[in-house]
Amino acid sequence: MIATFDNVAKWYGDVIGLVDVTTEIGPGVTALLGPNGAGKSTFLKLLTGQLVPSTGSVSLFGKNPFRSSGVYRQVGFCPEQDAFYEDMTGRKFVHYLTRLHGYGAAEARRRSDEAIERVGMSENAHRRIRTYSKGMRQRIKLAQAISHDPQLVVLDEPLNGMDPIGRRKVIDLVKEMGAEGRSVLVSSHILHEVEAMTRELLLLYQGRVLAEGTVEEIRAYLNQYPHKIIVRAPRAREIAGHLLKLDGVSGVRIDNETLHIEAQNPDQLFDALPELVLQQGFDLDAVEASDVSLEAIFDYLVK
Amino acid sequence: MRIVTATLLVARQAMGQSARGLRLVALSLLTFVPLMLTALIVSVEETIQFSTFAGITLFFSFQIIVPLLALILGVSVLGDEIEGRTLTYLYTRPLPRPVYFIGRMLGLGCFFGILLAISLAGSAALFGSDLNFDARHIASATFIGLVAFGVYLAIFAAIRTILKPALYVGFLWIFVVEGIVSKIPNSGAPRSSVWHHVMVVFTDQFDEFLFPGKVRAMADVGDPGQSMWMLAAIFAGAIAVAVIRLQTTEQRLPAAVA
Amino acid sequence: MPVYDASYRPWEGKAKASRWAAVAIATTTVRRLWRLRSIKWLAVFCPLAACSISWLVLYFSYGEFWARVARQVGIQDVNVLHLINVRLFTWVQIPAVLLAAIVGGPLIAEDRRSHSLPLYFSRPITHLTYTLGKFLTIFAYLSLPILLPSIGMYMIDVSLSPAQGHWLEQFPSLLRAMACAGLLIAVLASVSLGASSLCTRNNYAIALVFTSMMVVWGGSEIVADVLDNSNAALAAPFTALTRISVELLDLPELLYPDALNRTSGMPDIRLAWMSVAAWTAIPLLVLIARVRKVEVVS
Repeated sequence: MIATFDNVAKWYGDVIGLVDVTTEIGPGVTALLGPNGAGKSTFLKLLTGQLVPSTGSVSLFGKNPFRSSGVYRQVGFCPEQDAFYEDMTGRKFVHYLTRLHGYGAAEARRRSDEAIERVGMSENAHRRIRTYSKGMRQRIKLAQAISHDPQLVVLDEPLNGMDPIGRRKVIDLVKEMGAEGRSVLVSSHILHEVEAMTRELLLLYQGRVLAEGTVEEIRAYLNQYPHKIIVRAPRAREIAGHLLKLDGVSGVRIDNETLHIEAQNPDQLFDALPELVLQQGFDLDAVEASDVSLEAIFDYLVK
Repeated sequence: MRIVTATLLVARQAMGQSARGLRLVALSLLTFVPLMLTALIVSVEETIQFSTFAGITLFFSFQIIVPLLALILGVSVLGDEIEGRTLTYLYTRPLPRPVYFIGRMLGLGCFFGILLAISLAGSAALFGSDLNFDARHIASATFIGLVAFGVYLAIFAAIRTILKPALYVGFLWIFVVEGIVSKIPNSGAPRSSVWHHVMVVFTDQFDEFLFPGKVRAMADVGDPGQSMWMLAAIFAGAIAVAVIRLQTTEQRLPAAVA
Repeated sequence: MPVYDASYRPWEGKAKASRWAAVAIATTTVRRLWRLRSIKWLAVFCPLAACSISWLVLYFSYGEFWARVARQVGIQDVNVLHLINVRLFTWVQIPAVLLAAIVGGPLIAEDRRSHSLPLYFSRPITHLTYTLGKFLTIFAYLSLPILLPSIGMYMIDVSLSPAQGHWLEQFPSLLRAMACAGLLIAVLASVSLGASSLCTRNNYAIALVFTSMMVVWGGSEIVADVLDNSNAALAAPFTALTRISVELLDLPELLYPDALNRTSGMPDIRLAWMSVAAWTAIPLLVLIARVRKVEVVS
């Protein structure tokens, strides 16, 4: 495991940032998801050693990140705040921060140029950061996080203020880094962006871990909420009649040629549907599970 | 070696940051106030008194400009990175935190040293051949100013690692301790002043080129060896406090602006 | 075919900046600053407590002492209130600068740093209204250690006097003292707001206010001593204000504060007024220019 949180709590005076957080971050892309004020930034700051837990312990590559600056050789952090040395050019900014990793001037230049190229900022790297748009600033921030080829990349709201093309590029970059074997921890409160990047989630809400795992795993745990499946077929009413006989189906709503089915046991339903089609000769236009999505899961969990 | 290189990198970046825009103008103006006063006096007076030059350099530069600039720059050693919220970038590099502190102190010290040398050299040039104040004396005076600046810088920078309103505390220190308490006669109070110890340590140099005889009389209350150790202890103590604070305490950044 | 709401009627009234916007800006800022512990204690409670005690001591011992001294050298009719007020304005200058720096320094700097200026100027608020609002904020805080003690001294003097019409007799003195206080506040407010408009970091703004005042004061004293010209000392607003206060409060020359007692003679009163006017007007112009510039850039 790359990082471990063991019974971590963090409070700021009377305000609770995190409470009773025990989790592990492994390889691949993991999304840290939660609404505003859930504790995502606190989580990331504890992970990157900027804050000390009030109770519990945080371990990053087996070491306490607050005490061991050496772990940062393997960590790249892209903070949420829009803070730069405004008078520097983008290239100088990335170069300076890369050099602080211990690289010589030439090596740091090579690495920083590569990182700038990767985030698509080569054409504007010679300009001062104060002249950059919000999207450019985000990309330069990303460049400084990846220039030293870290094993763990931590991105705090990396898509803030970016245009759709920029977002697409960053999402692709994140997936690329995950495919290269790095660990990437991305925090966001925008569900569809997260869905585009990964299926591995760590959900935070009011300072607590609400759920962790893949979207499907989390959904499977939510048995108290029947799964919602949509079936579109010309003979919807007839199909509904057959489906209601199944034990696992708790309700069916017919809307013209669309069936909205609620099933406690969706697997039984998915087994039964092909049989029905073959035996009864029904035509099916579409079958989809409508609530195996982040938005639905989040709604269920937060309720 | 990596730590030394990183320290020098941070120092260079701090110097570059200071030498820009309004900040450079403001700091230069402040350091060059003695030079401007000198120019004003030279333009009015036909003959220049040695004591005039001494008053401007000794009193004004060292007792007013040096502590004030040390306060402003000392608070900004860590304060700039915290207020600018760029501390995050530095703290997520594989370097011990004190490296940034010492590197920035070094950079700001060099920056001030250059300004001070220019100011003193300019003053000496304006007074011209009326005074026997050559490059050796300029270097000596700059060194003395830097020693005082370094000790003050360390104190105020260390205070900033403990207190957020370090600037107010610094003003109170300069005004109360250096300005009032240290001037109480016939008491041990002058020993609380950094400037007093600087004068005691460098009495010979002051006597040689500034206030012949007078500094020796003012510095009579001290032993140069003792004062030197005192200055070293204050400097080392301030650095130690700052290092311990940086290693053991999280530095929380102010709330995000737009 | 465009889609629009046919019932919408644009407002056709006169658009003018509300005079009360300045008061709204001031009251909000005063309340916001009051929440900061450092402002409350460092800047208000402690100096106020210290000053209150020292001013009471001043009245009951110092005033009488100097009145006796004056009578001994043949100066009759010493107005103790005038005597105390001049000393008060001289001694309060340093703490007042600190307070002006701490309160006034961040006022514009914070707005610039947090990009709040467009929030103000996207409303029907003129630059003058905004500036006036900030002025009123500093005025509210600076009047505590500067204006209130004059009023307090007047009330102590009146309450301790057995004469019936003494309050009316001393009322012009109170007005003069308040005029001196007002001048000091105007200079400090102008300098601190002007400095604040040049910075985006609070610490730099505070440092600029305090440092500029101290450096100008020290430098002008040196120049005055070296050139043996007392008018040179008027470059510092403090000396100029002291000169004006002794004139306004009609103090005998023998009882002038030490700052004015020079071998080269008394500083010129007209130059003193010019110095105070310059120290008020120039930072104000800088402030207005900076605020206007930022609006365009934003």
